[in-house]
Amino acid sequence: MKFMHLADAHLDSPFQGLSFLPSNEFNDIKESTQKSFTKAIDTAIEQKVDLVLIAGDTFDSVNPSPQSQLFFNREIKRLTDQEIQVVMILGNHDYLNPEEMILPQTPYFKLLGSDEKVEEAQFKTKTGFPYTVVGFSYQHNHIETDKISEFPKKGDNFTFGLMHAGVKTTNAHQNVYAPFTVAKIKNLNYNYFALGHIHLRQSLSEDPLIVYSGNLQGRHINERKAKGVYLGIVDETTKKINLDFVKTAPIIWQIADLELDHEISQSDLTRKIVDILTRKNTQKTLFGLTISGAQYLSEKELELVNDSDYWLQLSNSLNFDSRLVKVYLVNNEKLQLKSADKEAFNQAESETFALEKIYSLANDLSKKSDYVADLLKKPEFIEEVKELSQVKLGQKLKDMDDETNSN
Amino acid sequence: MMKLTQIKIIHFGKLNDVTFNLNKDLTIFLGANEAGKSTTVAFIKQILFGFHLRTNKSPFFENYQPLDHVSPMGGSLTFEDEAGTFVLNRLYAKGDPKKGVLTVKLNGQEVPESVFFDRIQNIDGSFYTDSFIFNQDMMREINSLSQAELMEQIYFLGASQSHKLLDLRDEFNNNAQKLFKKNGRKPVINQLINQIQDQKDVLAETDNEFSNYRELEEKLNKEKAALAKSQVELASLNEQGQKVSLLMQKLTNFKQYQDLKRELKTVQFSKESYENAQAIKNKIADLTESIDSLTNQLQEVESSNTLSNKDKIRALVDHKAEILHWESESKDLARQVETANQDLQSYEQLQPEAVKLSKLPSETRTQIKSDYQELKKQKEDANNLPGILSLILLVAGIFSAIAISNLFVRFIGIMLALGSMGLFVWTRQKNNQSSRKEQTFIEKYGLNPNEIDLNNLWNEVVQIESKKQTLEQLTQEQKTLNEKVKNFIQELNPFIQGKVQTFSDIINLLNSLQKLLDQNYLAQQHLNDLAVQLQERKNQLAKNKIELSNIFAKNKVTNFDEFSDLKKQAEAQEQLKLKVDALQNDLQEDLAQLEKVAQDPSALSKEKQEIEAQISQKQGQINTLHAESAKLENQMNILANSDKYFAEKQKLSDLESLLAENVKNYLANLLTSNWIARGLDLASNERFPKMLEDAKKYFTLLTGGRYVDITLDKQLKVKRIDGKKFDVEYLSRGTSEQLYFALKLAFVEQVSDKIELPILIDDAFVNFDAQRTNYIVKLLEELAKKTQVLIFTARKDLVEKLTIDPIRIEKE
Repeated sequence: MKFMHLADAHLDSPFQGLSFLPSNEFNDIKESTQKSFTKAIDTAIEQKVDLVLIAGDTFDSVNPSPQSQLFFNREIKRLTDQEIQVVMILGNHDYLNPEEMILPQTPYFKLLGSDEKVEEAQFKTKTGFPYTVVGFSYQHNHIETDKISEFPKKGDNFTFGLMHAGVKTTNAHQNVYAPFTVAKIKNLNYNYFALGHIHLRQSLSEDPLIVYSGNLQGRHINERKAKGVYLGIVDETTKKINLDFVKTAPIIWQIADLELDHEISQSDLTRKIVDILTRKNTQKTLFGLTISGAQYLSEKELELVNDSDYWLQLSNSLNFDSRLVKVYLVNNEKLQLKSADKEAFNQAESETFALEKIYSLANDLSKKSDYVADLLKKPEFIEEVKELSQVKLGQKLKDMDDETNSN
Repeated sequence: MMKLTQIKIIHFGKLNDVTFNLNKDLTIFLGANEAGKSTTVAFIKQILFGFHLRTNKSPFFENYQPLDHVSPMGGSLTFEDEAGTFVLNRLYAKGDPKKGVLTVKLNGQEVPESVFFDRIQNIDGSFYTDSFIFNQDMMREINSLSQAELMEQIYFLGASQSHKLLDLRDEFNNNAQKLFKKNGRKPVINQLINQIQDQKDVLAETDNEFSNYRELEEKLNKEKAALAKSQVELASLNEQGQKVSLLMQKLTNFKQYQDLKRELKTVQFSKESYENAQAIKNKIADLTESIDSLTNQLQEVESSNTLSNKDKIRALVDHKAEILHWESESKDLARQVETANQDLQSYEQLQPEAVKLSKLPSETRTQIKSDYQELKKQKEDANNLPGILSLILLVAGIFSAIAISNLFVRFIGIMLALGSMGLFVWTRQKNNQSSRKEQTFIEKYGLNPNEIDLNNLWNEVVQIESKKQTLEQLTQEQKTLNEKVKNFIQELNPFIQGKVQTFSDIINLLNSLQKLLDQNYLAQQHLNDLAVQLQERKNQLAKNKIELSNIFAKNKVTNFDEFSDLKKQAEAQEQLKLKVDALQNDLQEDLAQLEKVAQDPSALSKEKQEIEAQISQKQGQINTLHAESAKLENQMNILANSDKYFAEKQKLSDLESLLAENVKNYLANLLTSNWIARGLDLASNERFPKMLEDAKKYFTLLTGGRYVDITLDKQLKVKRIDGKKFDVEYLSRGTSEQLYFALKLAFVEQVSDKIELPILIDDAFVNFDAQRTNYIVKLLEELAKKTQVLIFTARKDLVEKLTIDPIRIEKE
């Protein structure tokens, strides 16, 4: 038996951090999500899979555009026309009322557990190999209960678990996506547990396989790595699964690193950046660039590397229409302060960048915007802020020092 | 701990050559107004930090003008601490820098200024003024007190370049404020937040795209259902309409049906009778025709059969046998003549002698002939046959004339008998003539005596003679016969057309006459037959006529024409019946309805009009529905192909990205600012927070516990014991002065370990009532334990309360 596991297509979802791109260049990017989905469907048909598991968040919101719904319906129909069984669940983004969706009306399409209750469905492959799929769909944006305990015991059939969920953490307000423990899933002893929700492709367990296939198309710089689907081949006698990743995303995100250890002219800087990006550019890529040793940048250069026009200009030298879309600056030198003051400033740094301090400082702002509040919950964002602060202060102190020295 | 121990004024303002020795803790200068208290305060400050000449504007007491006519202006301050004694001497003479010329001596040795100023952290004059000098004017400046200033002054004591760091802190803070203000609208983050909210609203509207799509779909389905329904209704209306139209058509037929039906009547008509009559009629016609024809025939035959000379013809025809006999006789005669001639010729060749003999005269020959006559008689007997035949014929003719009853036969028999009698007579005559001639001939030939041959010759001559005679006789006979024939022809003459010469002509004529006779006979026979037939027909005719009139009577007609009319009528009715039947058959199903409708045909056309109206209305509905469906489909299509939702989402995301960038920048600025501030705090041993704590303490103390808290952000606020917060401007003058005093004092206390300079209080408590004065006294006593305090006052009560001997400054 062959099956495909895909998740988190997030049709309709926007790309983040590309607002500066000219609109004509944006079209490709815009279409990449659907392209990736189509590629997945193509693969399923080419590989003649028996089953396609869709582990939630197919749509980015509970108000998917008709365009996306019709697209989805069309693509699924291609599968069901080939009598490929499709089993789908809804996730925390697309907890739609199934009655309001445009879904294929065929026995080859099954929306599992649409009342948010764990449902078990039995199927047979064309050659008569029987299997069971167990899972449930979201009908709310949060599910805080332990759903695994509602999963039935494994029967004789080869059994797939299908769930959109996140691992239980110590942070209570994160445990709102059907929190589970790997041990509990292992206890079910299903042959394969297909997960959605986490966009980073990963296996939580090898035996039995408990797998996040990751999302279909990276949407921002923190969704790097090749994106696609898992293709599983089941040995019908031993029940062993051979799992392969198939890349479907037409665009990837990557981060390139530039390390500076001395001051550099603007033209050398440009050349170096282009070199580094070109080395990594093997397909259409949206690049982030980390410049460490940012203290060696002049104020003018600093301004330049933060300028999106400069990014576009650099990108013109790249193949595949790849683009530089973000620059991170890292100051890898401690502040230029007298030792007594340094101590005070180091302490001040750790105090100031304590999360609670940041939260309290940002309170006025985060109260005004949920988006900011969410942003502040992201460690990587905090880290960026910190890096930027360091660069900013370092730059200023260096200037101050220069001033002092030149006096 | 460095203390100011002596003030020595050479010349400054209104003061000349004055020296004050000071306590190391608290010193009080008591003097009336304008006695020189403030001048002394100004002197201390200006000796330390330079003269303040007219051009330098100062907010308060420093508006002194160096008395340049008195030289030198200035004096000295003596500070003592563990390290030794500093004497700061500052003089100003014309040509000196405006600040005057400062000399610093440590234990009598002149040292660089910095040796002293490093000890007081290189503060400047304004710092000293702001921080260490308390006077009436300054107390009113409470509103201008800002955290920034206080902090700056405090941090100044911490990190190196702290003022630059403070500038940086403020710069970052300003940058942060530019990006976001709590209650702002213009800063980019505020704007973005609003834009995001707006965009979310837009998106919420676009969110409806799908529900709109579903709504449209639902509408479309409804429209389609309505359309289908309308189409069914239309079909049924059309059917109804057709039915009505058909009914209308049928109504025409029905009317015809009714009309025809009315024409329908029973006609008594027997086809059989008619056919009978017709047959009889035909028969009658045939008979009549046949009678006519017979009558004609009869007349014709009668007229053609009138032979006027029938008897004569019959007499002529009766000679036919005789003619035939004549013919054979003629032929026989001719043959005999020829034979005789041939014999004679052969005699001439074979018996020429006999021939000669014969040519002898006739007497001779007659002789011989007479001899010969004997012989010749025999020959005549032999020639009696025609007589016998004629006898036989006679008998037969008589017999037939007598014995046969038939008139015609009898007639023939009579004729035959007559003919044969004639023939017999003629034959007897002819035989007699020939014997005579032979005798004469023999007598002529008796002359020649040829013995041997004589007899013979004679015979021969006789023979020849005979022959000659025979020939002659034969010629004679021929002649006679021809005569007879000629006569007969004469008789035939009336019947001859053309020439009749030969026997065959005669025979032919006779035959034709015979034929004529036969014909006549046959015609007679025929005539009889015809008469019989005619009679028969006439009988039949009469019978048929009776029969026909019987039929007519039976069918109640007088004649055949009437009967034909009757037939036509019957046939017409039959046609009519067929037509009626056909119509009836056609209309059968609707007959009942048609009968009803026929009573009011206008109702039907009205119904038709109504149906047509309904049809056109329905058609209109359908068109509208079609149009609406098309519109909906179009709208759906637009939605189905719309990437607006994505675009709006992307726009939101873009705004959010932008916000994130700005927030990052904002926070980086804000945090950096805080980082610097905190670094300065730490570097300055957290003097500011400590100062604030002290200030609170002092304020509470000075207000007798009525106020419990001070908050110092952008603006200064105080909290009363009842929890109410006040802006400084709403405080009473006294309270605000107390607040200022508390803050300044707390500050000085914080910096006093780094800047070991005395606090100068110049009539600062003018507005303090007795109660407050008590509090301040307590405070000053506390303060003086740590820091040197110089009080300049006009209030004796204060001096009394402090229980210290004052230095009196007298008016000059």
